[in-house]
Formats: sequence, structure tokens, C-alpha cells
Amino acid sequence: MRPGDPGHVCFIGAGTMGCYNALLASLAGYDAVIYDISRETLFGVPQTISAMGAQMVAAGLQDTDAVEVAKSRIATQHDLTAALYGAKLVSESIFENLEVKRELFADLDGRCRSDVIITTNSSSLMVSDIEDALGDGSRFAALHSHLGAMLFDIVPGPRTAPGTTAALKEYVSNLGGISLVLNKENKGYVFNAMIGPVLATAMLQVIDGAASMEDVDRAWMKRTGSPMGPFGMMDLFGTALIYDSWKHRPAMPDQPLMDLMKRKVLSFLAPIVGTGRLGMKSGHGFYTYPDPAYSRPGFLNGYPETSGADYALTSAWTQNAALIAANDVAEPHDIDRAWIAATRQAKGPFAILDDIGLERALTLFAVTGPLAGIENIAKVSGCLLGKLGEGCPGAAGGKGFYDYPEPAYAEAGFVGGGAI
Amino acid sequence: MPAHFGARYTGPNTSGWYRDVTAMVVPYVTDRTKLAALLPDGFEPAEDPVISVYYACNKQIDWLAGRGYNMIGVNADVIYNGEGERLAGTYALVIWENLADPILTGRELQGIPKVFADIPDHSISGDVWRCNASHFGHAIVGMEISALRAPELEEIAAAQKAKEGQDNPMGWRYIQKAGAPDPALDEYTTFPSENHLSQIMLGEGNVDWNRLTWEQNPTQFHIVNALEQLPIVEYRPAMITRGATNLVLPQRPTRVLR
Repeated sequence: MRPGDPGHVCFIGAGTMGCYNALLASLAGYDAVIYDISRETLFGVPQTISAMGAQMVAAGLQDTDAVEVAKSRIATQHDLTAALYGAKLVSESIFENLEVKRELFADLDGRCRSDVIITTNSSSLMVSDIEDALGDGSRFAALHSHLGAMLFDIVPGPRTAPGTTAALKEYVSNLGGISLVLNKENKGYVFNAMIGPVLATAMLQVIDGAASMEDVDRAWMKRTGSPMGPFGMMDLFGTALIYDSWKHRPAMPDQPLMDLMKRKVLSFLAPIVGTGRLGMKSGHGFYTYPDPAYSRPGFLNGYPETSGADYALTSAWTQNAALIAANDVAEPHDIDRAWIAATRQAKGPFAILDDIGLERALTLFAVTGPLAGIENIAKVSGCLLGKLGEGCPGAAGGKGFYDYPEPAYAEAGFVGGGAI
Repeated sequence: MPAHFGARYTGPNTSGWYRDVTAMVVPYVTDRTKLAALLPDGFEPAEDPVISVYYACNKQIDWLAGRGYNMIGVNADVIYNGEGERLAGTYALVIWENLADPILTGRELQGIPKVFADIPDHSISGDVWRCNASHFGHAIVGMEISALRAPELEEIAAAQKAKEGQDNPMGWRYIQKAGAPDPALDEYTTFPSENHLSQIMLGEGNVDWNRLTWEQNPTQFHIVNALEQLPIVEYRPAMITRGATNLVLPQRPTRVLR
């Protein structure tokens, strides 16, 4: 499935992710067709694509000519039959409604030739929720991209053919991306399953009055070396996206604490989103743009290396990473690679756990509480205790999730390209 | 006052920002005629005769060098029909506060009808927020909000729209002449402020006014009883907010209504 082969990539849904994925494909030389049921949404596609292209140019990731050529490879189509005609790969990214998605995939299954690969870009629905809507599950998988990062999760379903997974890995490689093939499905895949709890913890720190927004971001920037903290990230992702992801979480009457957290977070986000503070793209979110406070010199001056906010954020991050590994969704090194690929930070969560020391990390988890869910305490602890049992206490002891003094994550090419 | 010492100190850190404000607001529709009877000349109830009883726990106040105080106030939605202007907004019927300093400055500088009461910090028990005010050991009012939920984006947008052109808090700056019944000062004022809300929850509110005797609260029983007499026809959605408030807006300073 190389660029230039006959056939195009069809993107169903002209929202942010549909446009972003179409632009990535066209930049790699694929022809792209974006379909949407709404003519109005389709009408906005050229503007959205241009804005995304301009952002890539401004960030030094693409040059203007390449973006212009890529834009010429993208077509829009309001007729689904016409959009699918001749497609070799279909990528769905409509809004997150299971019933609507299942109807769509049943329809796509009937319309597409048997050699067409069909994928979902869904962030919150599971492959297993969707895949039995298709008669032919061998050509279906999740292919999940991340806005602003070249990391792609590939999640095969129970019927996905090995050839389908291989073709998707090749496609991602042709995009210049890094694919992470999950051993099994996981809510939020890998990156979102870690960043989501970090963002939630950041908001709860502020909501509960434990720290200011700026101090939460300072804590994260100090710990990870990232150019922005959780609130800057939410501005980057778009505050409406974060709001929607919480809004559409199902109610959990049997878990009142989760429902309370949902209410707190939505009460916090609603005044932001409801007053049009949509993040970087609107010039105003938690910060004002351009020139947000966190990017100004001196923002971190005087802020301590560790703080309550740091403990909470680091604990949420690493506990959820440990849970992903404990659930055998991906290996610790792959989880770190995925994190580094998505964030361009120097270290992933397991390298950070090594830095902290695994015994001390267990103490940290005990102090901050079960931030990967109370039902997962044993799994999270077990991940670290297993390593300790192997005589791997962390970086100070010369061995942890990595071997020191020359850990693999510090080697050139650790993240690399292609598949993880 | 005392004037002979000069005005209160103002400096680089004495802004009007209240940096951490937690508020509860319970609005209800009352009887239009009875509300009109409480308003001074020139004011009439808005088309919807709504009373809002609100509580604020104010912390990190710049002009108080980081200290705070609590308040419970009563606003009425009104229209001001002056000789020189017509203004839709709210009229402050009364504000109880638990600190002398803001009571004195608010009355003297802005004409806000402030009086003293004991107002403990609000309590949160499960899903119920409560607050109350009392004076001389006798309850004035209690308020609670329950059945909390996050607002819909449409509700935020609607509230913002409803506020457009209506963000005009008004009061009556009235000081009697010494030794005579005539007023030395008699003017209506507006004192705009700016709210940056960082958290909003909606819920179902309840206000419980007490009925008092002169013996129980000799300086305020007439205020409390007048408010108790305003019927609660229908509660509107109650609100709990957290955020910051600025009471000094250079572009919209306190002014006398025309």
C-alpha cells in the first residue's frame, strides 16, 4: 500500500482528525478523499487543512511547497459511494457514538471491495465494540493517530488478518510515522491512557485548590522537560475536545467518586469552553496566545524541583503506564517509545520510575492514592514489585526497567521510525 | 473616615482583586408588587421579578493584604428609570458582611447597603452546600444548594447573553444630615465589577428566611422581616461558582446614576 499505487485513502468525517489524517496521507504522497454527511462541514475543509498546514510550516515540520502539493491531493466528497470508489484504505473519524459508528461500518462493509482495509480512528470506543458490525472482520482494525505527533496505534480485532496489520504498519511507515501495535485493546490505547489521567489530575489539583494552574504546569515542565504543562497541552489539543471527551463518558452510578470527578471536571471546563476559550486556535484558552505565559523566560524560575503537584501528576502518569504494562497491552520499553514519539520528551514513564527508584515510587503511589483506579492497585504495584523481585530497584541501583549507566532510551534510534 | 488622617492607603498591591471567591447563588421569582414596594423612587422590578440571594467566601483580597471575609446579599433584578438614563441591572437590597472594613468602605464610597452579621464559612456535606448568617445569636437566613450538576455549554452561553447590557449592579448612597431628617447625601450609584469564573455548578437551591423580633435583632429585624415577607413563587436554577472578582474597573468606575 505505497503512495502512487492505484487507489486513494478515504477519510470518513471531516472534523479535526479526519482533516489531519488526510493531510498526513497527502503529504506522504497518497491521494485523499474526505467524506462527510454535512456539506457545511465539508465546506470548511480547505480552511482547516490550510490552517493545519500553516501550523506545520510554522513549526518547521514541513515546507510551504510540500503543503501546497499535499493540499492539491485532497478532495472532498458528499456522496459516500463516490468517495469510496477506488479507495484502498478507509479511515473513519466521525463523532464518538457507538450506534452511529456500528451502522456506518456495516454500511462500509457492504459497499467496499473485499481488498479494501477499513479502520477506525476512534479515541474512546473499543475495537471489540465495533468490529462485529462488519461481516468481514479480517480487514478491520483500529488505526489511531495523535494530533501533532507521528505516533499511530494499531489495534487488531479478534478477526483481523495478519496481512491487514502488516499493511497498516507499512502505511504508517510510509507516512513517516511510528506504529505501536498493541497486544490487545485498551481504553485510550497507550498514549491517551496515560495523558488522560495526567490531564484529569492537573484539573483536580486546581479545582480542589491544591495548586494554581501555572504551578501545575511548572511542576510538569520541571519533571519532564516538556515545553508546556497539562494546561498548555489542553490548549494545544483544544479545550472543546477535552470537554467533549468528559461529557460523553458514561455515567457510573456504581462508582460515585468517578461521577463526582466527572462533574467537577465538567464544571471546570464548561466556563472555559462555553465562553469561547477554545485553546491555541482561538487565541485564548487557559492561557492567551501568542506568547503564552509558560513560554516566557523565567516562568520556571524559583519553582522547586518537586512539589505536591509534581507528585500527583507523576504518580498519575506512571501508575497508568504500569497498568498498561501489567495488562500486557504493551511492553514498558514500547510504552516509553510511544510516549517519547508522541511528546518528543527525553524520557517515558518507565525511565522516570527508574529515576525515582521503584521502592520510592511505590511509596509515592501510596501517598497520592490509586490514580489508575482503586480496582487496579494490585496490578500497578505488582508491575513494580515484579521488577524489584528481579533485583532491579531503578537507576540508582544500576538496573530497573533499563540497564544503567547507559539506558536504552538514551541511545540514538531508541524511538526510531516504523513499527514498535 | 477618619478624614483627618487622610484617605486609606493605596499602593502597588492594593488592587480590587478578590483572588479566590467561592459563591452560592439562589435566585427565585417573587411577587412583583411586594418587591416594587421595597424599591426607592426611580426603580421598578424587571419584567421577571427575580430576587437573588447570594453568599460569597472571599479570600486573598488584595486591598486587605490577602485577608478575606464572607458575605450574604440580596439583589433584585430591576430597571432604573432616571432623568438622564435608563439602566437594566440589579439593585442591592442588603448585604451582610462579617468584617467592618468592607462594610464601611462599601457604604461610604459606593452606596452599597452593607450591615454586619456573623457568617461562617460554608459547609459541604455530601452533595449539599450550606451557608447562613446570624446576628446577636439569632438566625437571619440559611441557604442550601443540592442536586449539583455541571452546566451545559448552552446554559453558559445563554447566561452570558442574558448578562449583556444587564451587568449593572446598583445601590442607593444615602446619608442623613447630622441632627436633621433631611439627607446630606442622596444619590443612586452603580458599581460594576468583573468576574472570572473558573468553576460553575448548577443545582437546586433553597432559602430559609427567619422572622425576628426587635429583642432578637434590634438593628436589623425590620430588614429581615421585609425580605421574609417576599414570597418565593418559584426557584430558578441555583449556582455555585469559584473564581476571581475585581471590584475596581478603571474603564467602568463606580459612578452616580443620572
